[in-house]
Amino acid sequence: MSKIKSKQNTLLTNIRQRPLLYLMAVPIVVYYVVFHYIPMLGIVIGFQNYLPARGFFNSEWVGLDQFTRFFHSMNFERLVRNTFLISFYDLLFGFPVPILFALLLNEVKNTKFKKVTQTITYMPHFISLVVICGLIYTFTKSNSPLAQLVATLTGNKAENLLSNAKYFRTIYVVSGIWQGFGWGSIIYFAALSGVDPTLYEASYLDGAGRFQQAIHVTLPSIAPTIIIMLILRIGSLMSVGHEKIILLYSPITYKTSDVISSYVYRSGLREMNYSYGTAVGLFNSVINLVLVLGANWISRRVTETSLW
Amino acid sequence: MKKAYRFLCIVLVMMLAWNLAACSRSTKKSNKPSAGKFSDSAGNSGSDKTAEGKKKISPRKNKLPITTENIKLVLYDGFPTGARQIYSSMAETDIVKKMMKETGLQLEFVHAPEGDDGTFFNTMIASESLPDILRDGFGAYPGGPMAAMDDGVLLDATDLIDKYAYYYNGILDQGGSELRRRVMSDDGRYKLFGVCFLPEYLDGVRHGGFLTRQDLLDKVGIGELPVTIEEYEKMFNAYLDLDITPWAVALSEWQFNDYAPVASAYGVRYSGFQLKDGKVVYSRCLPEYKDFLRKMNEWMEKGYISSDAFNQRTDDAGKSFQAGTAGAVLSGSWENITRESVGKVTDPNFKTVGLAFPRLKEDDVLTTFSTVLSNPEMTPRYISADCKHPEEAVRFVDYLYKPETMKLTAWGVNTKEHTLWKDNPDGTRSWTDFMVKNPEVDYETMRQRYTFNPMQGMWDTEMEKLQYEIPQVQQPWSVWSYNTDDSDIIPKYVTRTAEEERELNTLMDEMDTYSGEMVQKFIAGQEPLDHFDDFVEQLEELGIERACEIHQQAYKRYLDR
Repeated sequence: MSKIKSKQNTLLTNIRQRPLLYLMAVPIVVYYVVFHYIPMLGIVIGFQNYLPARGFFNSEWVGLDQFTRFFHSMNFERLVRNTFLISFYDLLFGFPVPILFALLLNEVKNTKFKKVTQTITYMPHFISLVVICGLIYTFTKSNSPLAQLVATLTGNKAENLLSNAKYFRTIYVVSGIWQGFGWGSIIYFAALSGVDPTLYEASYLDGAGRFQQAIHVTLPSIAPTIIIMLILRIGSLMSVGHEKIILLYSPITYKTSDVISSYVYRSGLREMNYSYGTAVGLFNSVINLVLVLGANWISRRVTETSLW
Repeated sequence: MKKAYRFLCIVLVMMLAWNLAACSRSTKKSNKPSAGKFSDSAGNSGSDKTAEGKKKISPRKNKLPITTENIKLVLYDGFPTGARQIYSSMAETDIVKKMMKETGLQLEFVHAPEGDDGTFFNTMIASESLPDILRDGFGAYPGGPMAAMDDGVLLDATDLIDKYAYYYNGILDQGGSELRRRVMSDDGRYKLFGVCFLPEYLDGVRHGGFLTRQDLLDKVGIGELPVTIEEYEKMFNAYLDLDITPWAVALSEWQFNDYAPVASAYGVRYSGFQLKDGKVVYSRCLPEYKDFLRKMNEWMEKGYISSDAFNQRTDDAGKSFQAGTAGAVLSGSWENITRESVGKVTDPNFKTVGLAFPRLKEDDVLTTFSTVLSNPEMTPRYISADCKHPEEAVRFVDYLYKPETMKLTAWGVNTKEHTLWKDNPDGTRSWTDFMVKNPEVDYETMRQRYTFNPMQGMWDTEMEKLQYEIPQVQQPWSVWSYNTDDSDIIPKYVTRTAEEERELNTLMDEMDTYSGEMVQKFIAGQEPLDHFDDFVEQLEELGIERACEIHQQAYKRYLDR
C-alpha cells in the first residue's frame, strides 16, 4: 500500500518538477488513446451478430459463434498456413538483407558513393504500394522478359507468373525486399555510426583484418539493435497487410496467396459480415501478441536484451 | 454535495425535455408539408385513403421549389470518371447548381473513390452516419435492401412515395402492372425507387459482346463473321499466326461473368445461379459446365487465351486490343467508339466489328445472358432512416422524373462559356461540335463532364439515339442480339427475405472462394478435369442444394406476385 502511494507521489512530484515535458507528451498520449485504444472497443462486435442499425449495444450476443465458424471453415488451415509462411519467408529473407547491406556499405570509404547509393535505395520506399504492384504486375506478364526467362529455365511455356500459385510467395517476398531494404537499413547505419572507433583501432593492432573486424567488432556492437528489430518483426509475424495481397492475387492463386487479412477484407467488408471479419481479425491479433511476448521472453533469457 | 446532485438532476431533466420537444418538433415537420405555402388540406385528410386517392392529389405536391427553408440533403451518388477529372464533387457542376436553384434545396454529395470495389459503401454503412439519399442496390447488405429497412438503416418510404412521388408514379402507371411488379417487393413495399427507366426501343437490347477487327479478318482472309465455336477457333488460329493474343479477356471480372461468352454456348453461366427447365440450379454443378471448362482449357492450351487472363483487369484487356496486341475483346457498346479512335492511332486501318456470341450450332439459341437491358435498370435510391427531411428527399428524387429535369440531366446546361446543344428549327435537338468534335476530349468524356448520367430518371430517347446511330454501335448491337434471350436467367427483380439473404450470405461465403479458385484452376489446367465430379460433390457438401432451394422459393414468390 505504502509502496503504491510513494510511487504515485514520485509521479506527481515528477509532473510538478517538469510540467513542460509532460505537456509535450500529451498529444501523443491523446493520439494513442483516440486512435488506438478507443477503436479497440469495437472488437465487441466479434462476439455479436452485429447489425449497423442496432449498434454495439443492441446487437444480438452470440458468444464465440463467429470464432467457431472460422475454425470450422474449410479455409481455416490454409489461411493460417499462408499467413504464417508469407511472413516467415519475409522474415527469413527480408530481415538479414538490410543488415548485410548496411555492413557492406559501411566498408565503403568513398562518402559520395555511399550517400548516393543510400539515397537510391530509399527511393522505392516512397513509391505508393499501388504503383509498386502495378510494376510487379507488368514485370510478371506472360510476354515480359522475366516470364520468358523463367520459362526458359523451367522448360515450360511462358506464363503469367502471378497466375501460378507456386511463384506467389517468391514474388511477394522479393518485391517486398526490393522496396524496403534501403529504408530498413537506416537504423543499422545509425547503430554503426555509434560504434566506438577505438575498438577498431584496438582490433587492428591485434592483427584483425577487415572481415574479422566486421565479425568481431561491428556485428556485436549492433547486436542489440538487431535483436530489438527482430523482436518487433516477430511480433508482426502473423500480420500480413491485406493491401498488397489484394492487389496481386486472383482466385487461381488463393492456394498460396489468400491470407487472414485478405479473407477478413473479402468476408468482412465486401460481403458485410462485419462480426465474422472482426472475429477472424481478433484471432490474428491474439496470435501476434503471443508471438511478441514469446520472442521477448526468449530474448531476455538468452541475450538479456528485450523490449521490456 | 447534495445540492450539486440536485442541480445535476434538474439540468438533466431540462435537457431531456428539450430533446423531446425538439423531437416532436421535427416529427411534426416531417409529417406536415414543408412550407405552408401550398394550401393542401387535401394532403392531410387524404393520407389515410387508398393509393388511388393519393395519386390524384399529388400533382399539386411536387411543385417547385420543393422548399423555401434552408434544407440540406446529402446524397451518395455516382461520379463519372470524366467529371472527376475537373470537379471535386458533382455539387460543382452546372446541372446540380441549377437543380439547387430550382428546388431550393442545398445539395451536398458523397462519392466513392475512383475504382472503389464497394468497400467504401460498406464502411459507410458500418459507420452509422449515412447520407440522406443513397444510390446503391444494397445488394451487399446482409439481407438486402428490405432487411436494411427492417433493421432501421433505411426508411421504408412507401407511404411517402405514394403520397409525394407524382412523376415517378406517373411513369409506373404508364408502364402497366408488369413494371409495378418489378419495383415492388413481395410484401408490397417499394423495393426500387429512383431507378433509371429506359426508353422503349432500348428495352431488351444486349449492350456488350465480342469485338474484333475487320481489317484483321480481311488480312487473314476470313470473309464471313464467325458464329460457331468452330469458326471462332479458325479465326483465333489465324490470329495466332499473326503473333497476337487471339482473345484478351479478364476472367476474374464482372464482364466475363455477365456476358457469359462460351459458357452460354453450353447453356450455363460462368458463376452463380440460373434456371434450367424452370428450376433454379447452380451453374457450376451442371454437367454442361464441365464441357464449358474443357473448351476454355483447350483454348488456353492452344494459346487463344493467355494466362494473363486470370489477373488482368477488363481495362487491360481493352488496352491490348486497342494497341493491336490482341485480336478480340469483350466490349460494351459505350466503349466501341473509343476503341476504334484509339486503335486508329497505332494502325490507321483499325476497324472494329462486332461478333455474335459463339455457339455449338449456328441456329442455337443462347439463353444465359444477364446483360440484356431491361426496364427499369437497377441501382435505386433509398432514403436513410436518419434523414431529417424524408418528405423533401422523396420529392427531390421524384423531381428527377420531371420531364424538364430529365432533359437537364441528359443534355446538360448551356452557359456563357460553352454551348453543349442546340435546338434545331425542325424541333429536334443535337449536340454542338464542342461536345462531339472536341479536338482535346473525346465524346464519352465530354458527356460524363457536362451531363449527369447517374441522375437520369429515364434515358432521353433523342440523346441516346444520337450517340447510337453510328455504325460502330449499330452493327455490334444487331449481331450481339443474334438468337439470344435471357430465358434461363433468374429475373433480377426477385426479392429474398432478410433471413433468406443472411442464410445465403453465410452459405455462399465459402462457396465463392472455393468454386472461384477451382474453376480457374480447371481452366488453367492446374487441376485435371477428371476431378470435376469431386468438385461438384464438395459443393454439395458445402450446402449448394440449400442455396438453390432459397433461390427457388424467392423465384416462386416472384412468379406469384
